[in-house]
Amino acid sequence: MSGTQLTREEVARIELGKTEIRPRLARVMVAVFLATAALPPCLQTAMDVAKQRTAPPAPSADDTQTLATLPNARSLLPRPARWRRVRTLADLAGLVPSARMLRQFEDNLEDSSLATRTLAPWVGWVVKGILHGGDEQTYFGRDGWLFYRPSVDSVTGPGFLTAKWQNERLRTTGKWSSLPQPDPLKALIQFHRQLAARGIALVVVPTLGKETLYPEKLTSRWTDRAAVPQNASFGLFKSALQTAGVNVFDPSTILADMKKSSGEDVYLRTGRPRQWNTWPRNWPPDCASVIWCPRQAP
Amino acid sequence: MVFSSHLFFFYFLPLVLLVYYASPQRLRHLGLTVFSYAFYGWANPWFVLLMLATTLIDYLCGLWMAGGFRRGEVPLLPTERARSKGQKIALALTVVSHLALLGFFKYFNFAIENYNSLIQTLGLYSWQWDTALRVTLPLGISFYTFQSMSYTIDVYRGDARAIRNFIDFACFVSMFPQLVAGPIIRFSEVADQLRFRTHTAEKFARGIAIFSVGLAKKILLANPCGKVADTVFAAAPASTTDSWYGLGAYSFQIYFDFSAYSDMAIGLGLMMGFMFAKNFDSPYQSASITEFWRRWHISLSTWLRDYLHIPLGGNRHGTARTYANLAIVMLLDGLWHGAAWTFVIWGAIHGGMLVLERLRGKTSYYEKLPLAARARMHRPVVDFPGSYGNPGLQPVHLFYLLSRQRRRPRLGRARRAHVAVLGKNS
Repeated sequence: MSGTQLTREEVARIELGKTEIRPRLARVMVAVFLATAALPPCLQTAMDVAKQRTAPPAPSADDTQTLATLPNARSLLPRPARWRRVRTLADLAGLVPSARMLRQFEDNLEDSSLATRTLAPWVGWVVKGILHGGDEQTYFGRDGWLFYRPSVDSVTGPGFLTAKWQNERLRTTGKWSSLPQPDPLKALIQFHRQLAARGIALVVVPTLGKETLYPEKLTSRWTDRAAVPQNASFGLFKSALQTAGVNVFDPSTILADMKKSSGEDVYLRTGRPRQWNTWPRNWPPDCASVIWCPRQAP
Repeated sequence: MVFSSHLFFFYFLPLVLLVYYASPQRLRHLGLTVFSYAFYGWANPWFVLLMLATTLIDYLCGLWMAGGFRRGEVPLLPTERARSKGQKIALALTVVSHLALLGFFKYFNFAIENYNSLIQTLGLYSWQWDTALRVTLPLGISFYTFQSMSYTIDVYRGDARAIRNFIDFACFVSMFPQLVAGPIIRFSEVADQLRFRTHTAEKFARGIAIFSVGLAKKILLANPCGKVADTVFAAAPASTTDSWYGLGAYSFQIYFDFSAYSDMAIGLGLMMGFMFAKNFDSPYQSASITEFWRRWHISLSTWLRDYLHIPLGGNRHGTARTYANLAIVMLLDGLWHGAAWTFVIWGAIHGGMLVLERLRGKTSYYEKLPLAARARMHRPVVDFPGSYGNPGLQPVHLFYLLSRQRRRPRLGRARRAHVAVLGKNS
């Protein structure tokens, strides 16, 4: 650097202008920040160590399960006996923890953390109860209705029979799990044939998310109360299955009619008025009988 | 490991700060380097070998160029004197090795896909390269490659003195605050700080403030905006209004996300006594695309200006060459952001717009509008939707369309999104 050129510190001082932090305030900020960052892990580690002394964890077949606490993080590193067995480069490479193990450790550490367990319900209460915001699993609808996010996304998203959707599904399937058939139509027809060969009839009953029966509770822009929103591929999926000889029982029309005529809830409410169950298994008995009775009639 | 993660904030950061401040002065860079490698290796432990190899190459070539293998202080190369053949070879070695690694890791998959598509189109199916090999992109390679290259280029030009202490150099390349998402720190900016820097409570407190602002930006603004954008872009088909809403949300997401990481990096640097230059300067208040690029990702823009645009000739060889240089730089800028044709188009449109503004003397074609309106041309979402009668007719929205391109690496999807935004999908 030449002598006439300003150092980065000097440039920064000029850029800062008149912004000043008093020494006492600076010390308080540093103390609060360090306490916020360092106290939770110290407490957590102390608790984990104490817990391990009183009740050592049972050996688990899955290595990653033992990594939920910081004291166990040392198991990410190879034991001395494994070091002694190293003869080749491949042996040495085998000592390096995999990215999967590291990720698992990080997830477990967060999930089992005292800070997470203590704060998460409060944060959830503030975000959902006060700010009416959703999260990774939830959309906050109107009148306090909650919607299961993946279910809504599956209805509003691209058609599940399109090649692009299926390719995307293949691409995003985890490295550690296999997905033999991304096309649900082909999979179901194949399953139907296998069952038919054994004399068993397959009846497909598409499950309905709340957004299909109560779209007006999700958005005020849904004005057609009679319509049942479905994924763009659903119609084609249903007709293709029927063409292939598969029995399909789609309860959406029955439930929509019931909601329209009686005004009754077609989903069970849980204890808290805002918490609604998502799955059709929670249909009230009346709805279940409406759905199943026609099938039982002679 | 990301800055907003539980592991980073509650375990990694306190441990780094403890070790850093508990260590004697001469061991601080070693500690910081070890932690930075651990931070980097957390994504994939094997990637640290790659970073170590490139660091070694640059370190040795830097010393070779400056004649630093001899005893005594490493000399600063005189700027006016021609370079020897050995110095040129050393520079070429580092630049070629970096670009080769970046090219392989970042563009191999893209090249194979395009090759196969071309071969399919030509009907030469037997010529397809049906390989199972797919390259995983090492985290932050685009950033630390540029950062590391700046060292050897600065040494070659005589703008910086080569560094003899390998630990200091490894610390500069691998420093975890800016390793994976920038800003791209140039060696000449931190060379003096690597030798000496102050550590004060005031500096630390400023670091805390900037880090906290970045963390809040990321969690409270960028993530919610991202969720809105995700929902809209996952919808099929999205209405024109929804598309604009998603586009706006995405525009804010990328700004808040990117600037949040820069803020956190600057804040973390300050906690350890480093002063990095700011990377964003309210870019959405820019009154032209030219100004926008002076305010957005400043460290990349200045890197491209100093190490690509000026060596290409800058604006010293006539009007046509200036425009061509601008276009080339922006094309490469686009390609640097990602390996997909959408990024190339993104770069081409930006290059085109910069050329258009250069034709008018670096002013926007809507310069006669009042300042407030000019700024708003670059942030349609702020005034959305009232002030935009026909968004398709306002080329400034191209920026947002381009942003959209960056989100959707598939050309077809990006096209569909544009059609929706322009209200032509019904």
